[in-house]
Formats: sequence, structure tokens, C-alpha cells
Amino acid sequence: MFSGNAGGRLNTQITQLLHRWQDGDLQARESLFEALYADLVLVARNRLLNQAGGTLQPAALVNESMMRLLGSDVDYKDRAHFIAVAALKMRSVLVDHLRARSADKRGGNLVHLTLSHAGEVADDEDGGHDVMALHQALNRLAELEPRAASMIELTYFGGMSRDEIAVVLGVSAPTVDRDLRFARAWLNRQLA
Amino acid sequence: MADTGKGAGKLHWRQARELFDALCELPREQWQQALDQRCSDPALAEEVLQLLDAQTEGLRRVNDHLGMALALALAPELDAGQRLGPWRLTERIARGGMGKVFKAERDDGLYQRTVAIKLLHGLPGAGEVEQLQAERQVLAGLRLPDVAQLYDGGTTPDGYPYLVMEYVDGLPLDRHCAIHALGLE
Repeated sequence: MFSGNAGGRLNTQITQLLHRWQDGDLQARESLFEALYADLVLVARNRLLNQAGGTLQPAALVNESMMRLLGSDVDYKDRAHFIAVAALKMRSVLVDHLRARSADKRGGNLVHLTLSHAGEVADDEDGGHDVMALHQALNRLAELEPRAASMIELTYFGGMSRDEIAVVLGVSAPTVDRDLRFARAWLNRQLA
Repeated sequence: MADTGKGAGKLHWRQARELFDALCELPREQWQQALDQRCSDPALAEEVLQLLDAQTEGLRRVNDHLGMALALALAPELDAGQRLGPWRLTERIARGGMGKVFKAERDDGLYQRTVAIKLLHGLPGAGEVEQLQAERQVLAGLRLPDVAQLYDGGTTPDGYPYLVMEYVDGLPLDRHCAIHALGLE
């Protein structure tokens, strides 16, 4: 946890980056990504050490990271934009990891094994394929309905609520509901 | 989606979306009738029906997997070159769905020995941790010439259990059997 003073300075820095990003500064977004990634790894490590389950919920992760980097005293719009950046970063972290892992499996002479040779474990027990399939289907959806695709990204990779999404995308909450409903139906069919 | 060029594809998509939005609040038994009234293209109607049918399922399965994939992506992984207790990992020799095996050398100058270190990658659920601990227990009780000897075991700084075993330069049992066409008898 950050102490008050350091937290305050960090808070200001991150908030400034968020504002610069909203003004179209892509370098600011890169800086945000870096700060976020470092923090997400820390938060993830802490959470994983303190629980046996072995999974991380994007919403919980983003929320904790936001409290650490932004503090609780932030305006609604900055919060929403922070989560939006976090969702983007989360998706790219996942996809990079899954790509690296599958390259790893294809390349080299690594012998395939499971921990105990007796119990063969399916290679995709952790559902990496599903996540990759979602990523690819989302790319296709983005060509046809970019706004709905963003909403799915914010919901599933950022754990964002419909009201927060409405703020970030500048639409009404019922519009978010309608887009999400259609996008989910479409993705369900693509991923079936 | 029909392959009738980009413009037609977009139009088709927009029609599907409009029909979906118009019908999605209706009870299921009214879908067909409402579609008959609004749409004369049977392929489009069928597509909209399927979309309507899929609207109530959340993305639950993929959502569950996101949590696991995220844990794997953000969890620190050990790799060759790093130290684990008195051992230095020199080379990764195998990996699987749940773990990795490294070749490792003693790195505290006390004596020289090459070992194999087996560890879980990413995030072990409680089940996997128990399994590795059980394996540790079983191996510790075995002293057979053909079974790799267990030397040591421990827990990484991040809390994952690992096994330090005799390094045997050979093929895994299943590969050996496959190559020599051995059955299971």
C-alpha cells in the first residue's frame, strides 16, 4: 500500500496521463500501460499468494490496482477511463501470453509431459483456447460493430459496469444494454 | 454471414441487428411469428432466430477461463538462469500442461551435482499443490534403481512446491515405449 504522500503524487501523475490520453496523446497511453502492468503483476502476485483457487477476476484486479494507483478520491470520469486503459492492457497481456505459450509449444525439442506421467492432463485445461477464440471473435465483431466490441472488452477484460461504459463511450446506459445483448448473442454463436 | 461482397454483407448485418433489437424483448414463442411479419429472407430469419436463442447465455464459459488465463499470464514464472534455493536452473528440458522440468546445478559451491527440478508453472490450484506434495511423499519412500531418486523438495518464494530429482539423461517412459513399440503389459 502507498502511504498518503506518495500515493498523492502518483495519483496526480496517473490522472495527468489519463487526461493527456483523452486528448489523444498515445504516448500517455503507453506510459499508463507500463505503470499499470507493473502494478497488475504485483497485485496478481499478492492475490495468488493469499488464495488457493488459482484464478484472478479481471474486475477485482482492476479495482485493486485502481485504488493503489489512483486512490479513492478520484472523479467518476477519471475512474472510468482508468478502467478502460486497464481493460485494453489486460487483453493484450492475455493475448501476448497465450501467443508466447503456443509458440513455445510449437518450437524447440521440448518433450511434452504432464507433471505425473500417470495422469495425462489435457493441454488446454486452463482454457487458453477459449480466451484466444474470444479475442479473435472480438476482432471480427470490431469490424462490424466497433462500439459493441469495445463494450464487451470493457465488460469482460475490465470488469466495467454498464454505467461506467456509458460514460467512457459517451452513450446512454440503455444503448450499452442493447449493444451488449446483441454482442453476447453473436459471440455465443461464434464461440459455440 | 453470406459472402455477397462487403456492401451486401454490411446491409445483411444491419438487417440482422435491427430484427434482433426489435424482437429480443419478446417471449420466445412469439419470435417466429414476428419474424414472418418483418422478414421475407429465410436465411436472415434463421440467423436472427439463432441469435435470439443465444442471447440469454452469458459468456460464462469463456468468462471462467479468463480468470485462469489471467492468473497464468500475470503469475511470475521461473526460467533458466534463475536460482531456486541452492540450485541454479540451467536448462528447461520439458514442459506440460501443468508444469516444467529444468536441468539444474548445485550453485552454493558445496558440491557438484546435476539434478532435474520439477515445478508447477502459473497458478496451482489447491489440487495440484496436493498432487505434487503427494508425489514428493511417494518418491521419498521409493528406492528403486529404475526410478529417478528424489533428493529434495521445497517451495519457491512465490509459494509453489517443487521437486529436486535425480537427473536421468534419457527418454521419458512414454517416448521409450513408443520408440521401442512396447505395450503396457
